[in-house]
Amino acid sequence: MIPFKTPLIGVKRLSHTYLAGTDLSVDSLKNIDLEVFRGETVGIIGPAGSGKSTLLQHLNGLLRPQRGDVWVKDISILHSGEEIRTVRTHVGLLFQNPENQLFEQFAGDDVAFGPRNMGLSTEEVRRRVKNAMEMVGLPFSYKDRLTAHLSLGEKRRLALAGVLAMDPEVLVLDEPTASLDPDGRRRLLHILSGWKSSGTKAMVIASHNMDDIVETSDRVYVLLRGKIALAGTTRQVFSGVDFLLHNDLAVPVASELMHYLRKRGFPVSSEVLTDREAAQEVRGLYDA
Amino acid sequence: MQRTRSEPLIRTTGLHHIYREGTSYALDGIDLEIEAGEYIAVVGANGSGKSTLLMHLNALLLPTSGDVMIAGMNTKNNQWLREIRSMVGMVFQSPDTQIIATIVEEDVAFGPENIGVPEQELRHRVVQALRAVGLYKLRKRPSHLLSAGQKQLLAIASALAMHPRCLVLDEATSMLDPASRRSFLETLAHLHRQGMTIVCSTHNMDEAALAQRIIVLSKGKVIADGNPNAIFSRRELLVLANIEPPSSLRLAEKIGEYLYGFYSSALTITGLADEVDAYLRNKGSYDQ
Amino acid sequence: MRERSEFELFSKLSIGQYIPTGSVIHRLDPRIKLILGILLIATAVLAGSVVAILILLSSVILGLCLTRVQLRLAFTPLKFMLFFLFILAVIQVFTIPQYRTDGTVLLHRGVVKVTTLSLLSGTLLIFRFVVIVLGLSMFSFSTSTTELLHGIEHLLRPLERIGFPAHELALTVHISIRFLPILAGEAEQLMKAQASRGADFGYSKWNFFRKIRKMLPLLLPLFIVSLKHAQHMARAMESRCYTGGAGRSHFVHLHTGPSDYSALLFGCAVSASALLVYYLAVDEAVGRLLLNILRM
Repeated sequence: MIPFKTPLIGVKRLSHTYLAGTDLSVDSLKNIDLEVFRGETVGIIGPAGSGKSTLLQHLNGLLRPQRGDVWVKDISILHSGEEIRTVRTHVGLLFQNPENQLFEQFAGDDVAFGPRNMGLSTEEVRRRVKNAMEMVGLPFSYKDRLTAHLSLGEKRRLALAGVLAMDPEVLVLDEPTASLDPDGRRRLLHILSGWKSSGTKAMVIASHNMDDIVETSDRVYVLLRGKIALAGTTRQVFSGVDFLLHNDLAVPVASELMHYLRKRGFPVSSEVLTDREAAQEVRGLYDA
Repeated sequence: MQRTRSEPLIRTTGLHHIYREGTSYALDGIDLEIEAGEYIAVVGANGSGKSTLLMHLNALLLPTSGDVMIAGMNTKNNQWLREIRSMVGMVFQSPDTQIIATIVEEDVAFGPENIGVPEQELRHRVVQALRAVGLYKLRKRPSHLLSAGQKQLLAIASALAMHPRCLVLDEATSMLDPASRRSFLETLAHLHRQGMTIVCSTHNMDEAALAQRIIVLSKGKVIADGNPNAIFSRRELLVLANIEPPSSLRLAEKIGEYLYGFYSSALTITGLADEVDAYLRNKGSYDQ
Repeated sequence: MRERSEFELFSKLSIGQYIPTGSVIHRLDPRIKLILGILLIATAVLAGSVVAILILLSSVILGLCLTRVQLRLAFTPLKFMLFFLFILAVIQVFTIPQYRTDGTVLLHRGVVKVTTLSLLSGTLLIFRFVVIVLGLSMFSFSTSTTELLHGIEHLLRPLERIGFPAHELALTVHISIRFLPILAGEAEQLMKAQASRGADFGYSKWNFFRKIRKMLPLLLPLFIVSLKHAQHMARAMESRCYTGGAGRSHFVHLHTGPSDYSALLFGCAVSASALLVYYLAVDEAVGRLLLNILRM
């Protein structure tokens, strides 16, 4: 018997109108249904203005559902008052370019901000800061360094540490590798997969970088003009290359290559995601 | 390229730059010549000196030692400042903070107003510049209501209104989503075809591959200077400079692992598809 | 149900209450509107006569109707203010200094003394306030901030000949306004980032001081990011050859037309009649007439 799995995060018929009631109102989200289960990574892709950020901000209660609801571990965000702060310890949200929001003079203090807000004891705060910093590959001794003197990559990891220090069960990331150079990107993705490897956590990534999505996500939701236009496993979603390209979305280069080859009459699979799969497919064509 | 006797548009000799006494050289002896009409991408890891170099090109920064000559004018010479800055227009990374005026067309007018362009010519320049980037219809709109992509196009228009001979763009696409980035790059290509000299810095190698010439910086020095194929074929160089090859080359290499004998120097995915197509159709008889 | 999140700082909203309807008032030269605005306030302050204020009030309401903006938008802010105003007016009525003992006494119980004059000054207070608020609303509905700035700069431009830095002043204000949506956006991001890590910004609705204290961690990063933005903007201005006001040409030109002159004339006429009514002590005459009617 397949056990009924309750999602860690459940979104039902969520709608949001930005600046409702004014001349500039915009329907940013329309009837969104979405689920995030333990152990999986969900990718969210969509062109600029599709509502990605708005959606992400509903997942930890920064935005209250105007219509519909969002549940985090059985806590309804719509009906929660003060408990919303508990929700924010379960769901950690890392914004785009989070190094712009670092505000403490000393690096360690910034990481400690979250645990301190949770009312934890000094020893517990210290323990969490240490763990979080180690998880992101920053030596604990950095805690006394001036935040301003860290490099971009270090700041990004520090910001991540600040979220990890709250020990969330779900990590929600908005464009986590934006502006990072190849090394920085690799390192960050490695940290994220390390964090998630315990199997009880979940991750949600919104990104323009399709390589990131392919590398991390099990399932993908495609957001277009506030609606979920497509949902499925990563492979399923990226098999619809025509649809994605037509809607101004990027696709993994491997899928794109297959798409062009298919157009030229070659019988290639539509479920190619990675470089290796593309190479194998081409080899298959050659051998045929 | 025939080296004529005339002065190149941009020439740096022994360019050194230190930001603060006691810190290391941000630019450690750069000797460069850029001819009118070139399309150049400057690449390198964070901290390699890209921004610093670019800001010397319109005299925002002055050399600690060495010289920068723009069309024969030395940037250290105050009396040429206005000429130099009219000749070299600059577009920065952040969409918001390079827009001065609250209305689109007024921002485009700001530059020529500063140099006292007479009114009729001024109006003409504003219209011309807006049309060149496709923003003419939005000319009366409040600038803060533009999307990020539109703001960056506005920044180009505002630079174009000065009638520059060269556009310098410092990571101008790094904050844009793929669709906006595409239209931005198309605009640049169009301007280049009309004779504009383009010097841009970027992290995105697919973008750098669009240029005719790539200059690779590392720790303040030029470590390579050549066309994209020449640069991207040198693996040790890429590792040293902490940059990755454009996705088409990366994919081509992977295919080469599975299909011994396949080689492609295509810099775009469509180009790669062409070469795969050709290779497969001429099975075995691949001429190089 | 439509709860607004505690974070919507409306970084996309236009500043002020500019409501474009394309009415005739909207199309007036901002300089004329500035002059009329000043004229309105000056007249309202000088003309200490209820009848005069009523004249001003009717012309302001006429102006508001001409802007084609919903009248209730102008009157809504008044609703809140009117309550306190009424209290203030009542206080003034009962406690007006006794140096003015002329005016018929209507009520005298111990310390409390109500004369026709004190009643008058109380009424005046309310009406003056209403006129000024409605007048300012009318101008702000019909004039965008950009227009206003251009108006101010153009008005002050003649002073440049005597060395007054009109352009630099206008640009300073302009850039400050340009920064508002940028900073609002940054503040919103900061609040959201901090709230995501457990900071509490919205729940103690009555605890004003706690709210302020919670905002403190925002100040420093906001300040730092503002400095960074300012630096970027300065860099952009320099790149486009900004060197101050001298030698600049002007893209924006304000043109006055027949409707501007008529508006100006109308405004002067209204102002003149209001002042005339005041100097001719029309109020006294009307007051006596009312009292006679009441006694009958």
